[in-house]
Amino acid sequence: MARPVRSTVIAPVIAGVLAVSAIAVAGTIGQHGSITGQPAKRHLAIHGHVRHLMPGRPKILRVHVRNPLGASVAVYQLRAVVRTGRGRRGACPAQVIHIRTWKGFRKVAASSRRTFRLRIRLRKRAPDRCQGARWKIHYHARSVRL
Amino acid sequence: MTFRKFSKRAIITSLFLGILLAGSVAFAWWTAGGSGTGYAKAASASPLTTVDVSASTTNDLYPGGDGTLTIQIHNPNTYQVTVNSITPTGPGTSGVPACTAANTVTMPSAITGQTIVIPAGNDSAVLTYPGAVHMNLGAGPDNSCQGLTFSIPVSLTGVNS
Repeated sequence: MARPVRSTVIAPVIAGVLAVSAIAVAGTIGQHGSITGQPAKRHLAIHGHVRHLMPGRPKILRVHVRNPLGASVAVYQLRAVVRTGRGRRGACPAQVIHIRTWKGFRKVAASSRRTFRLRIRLRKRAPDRCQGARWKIHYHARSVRL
Repeated sequence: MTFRKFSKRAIITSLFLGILLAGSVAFAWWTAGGSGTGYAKAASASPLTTVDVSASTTNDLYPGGDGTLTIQIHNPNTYQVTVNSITPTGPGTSGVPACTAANTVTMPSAITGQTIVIPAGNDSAVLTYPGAVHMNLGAGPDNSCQGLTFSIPVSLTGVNS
């Protein structure tokens, strides 16, 4: 004869739901810092630009990562995706720009900013029409809370 | 009151799914992503200029003969440039109409295969190319050309190096 399973099935599920709810509430409060009614800032804000790229000459792209969260995070990957550029002489393909993905482990304290240095290079054989062109860059960061 | 009986497989599956769900949510909370935009801008090259492009600076040019071309190039860019070729774009001028009408000074062919390295924002050395310019005989010899220096218009081709 099989025994009733209420305690072995329903109880863990309820416990799981409670745990998830607790994590979600804790996370929301942690991101606010305090309950102010402001919308939660859940993501790192990233920006950075570089000028005067020349064919075959690597440059350093300084990318600023701002942590608006209420907790410190450790960034472990920062990736940049380049879109097709445009200049006075027309379009310039994104493939002529190479940006090396940053990988490591760097702490960004709560409500503070840190600068990451990415290596960027305009390919030596970039067409002449790329002179003065401007490429939009999308940054994507991955991090964990500390 | 009785409860429905579940199989062992159902219990294990539900436990696994519960743990997976809780783990996924915890991971989502633990990780923090970020995104943003920026831009990269390429430099624009400034055209090379010539400090001096002249012929007959050593009085070696005469009607029907060849002379030496003297050239000095300025690189206004913020990077080093290597000039590969010097191509004539028209006849030389001396500033004396009578001489220009009588005799034409030309650069018959382009000077190619060069590697003239010019540092950023600097001038090249004064370069000389013997026999690169020619004075045509024209309709007749004109003494007004004697002792003159001719400016030769050229275009320069180079790459950043």
